[in-house]
Amino acid sequence: MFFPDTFKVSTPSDREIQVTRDFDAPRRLVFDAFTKPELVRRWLLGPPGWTMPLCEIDLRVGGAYRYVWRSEKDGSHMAMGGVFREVIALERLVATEKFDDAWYPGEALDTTVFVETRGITRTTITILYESQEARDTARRSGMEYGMAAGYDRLETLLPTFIGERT
Amino acid sequence: MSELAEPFSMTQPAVSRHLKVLERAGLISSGSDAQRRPRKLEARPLAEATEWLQRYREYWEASFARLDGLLSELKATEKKHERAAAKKR
Repeated sequence: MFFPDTFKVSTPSDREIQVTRDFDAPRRLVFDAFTKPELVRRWLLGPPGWTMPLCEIDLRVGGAYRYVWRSEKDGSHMAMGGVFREVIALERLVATEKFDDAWYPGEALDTTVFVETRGITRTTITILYESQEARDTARRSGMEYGMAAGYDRLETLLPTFIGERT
Repeated sequence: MSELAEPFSMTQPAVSRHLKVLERAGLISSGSDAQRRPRKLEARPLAEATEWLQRYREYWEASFARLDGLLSELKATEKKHERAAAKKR
């Protein structure tokens, strides 16, 4: 089994969230896993108990992508999509992101960078929100996902979550 | 304030600025008595922020663990194809 020595979630600025992870595979395979719908559908499944019935990716600048997730428990749907702004094969993807029932204002911009060193591919995903408020609202939704997955106790934390104070 | 500044190689105005930022973020609160303004650590919002980060990490870690599995499968398939191609040659 592969134990990655990096897995980092950070907030490099007021408007960003960044996730970094190493994968034990060459860059072309990791890039495929992020850009080929039949592969994306196998791992980007959302919270526990959700599946990904729809995944469409038109991988070119100006091309659109769309993801739909479904809760197997209650049948509810969640969908998001956007448009590619930059596509550099194997290296770099920049795309807008917007959820159908957007709970944060505006679009976010996702930048994904793949760097391969000796067969290990470091992948960095940076989500840039339109404002700090948008980022913090999106952050709070992380807790709502948690609740959807059965962490009901989080409900008591929501009203006083730190994002509301700023 | 001078007590709080003591362990750090920082000027008092610098410490004061840090305290203000922490207070605005709701991470500390300050009391007051005649001589001093004792600061109190507000652990709850810190714990909540950590809690969020933890959930977010768990969400991504679960997805990435599935991706690890998929990638090792792709690598194995590739190897098999290479071996088959080598045999043909």
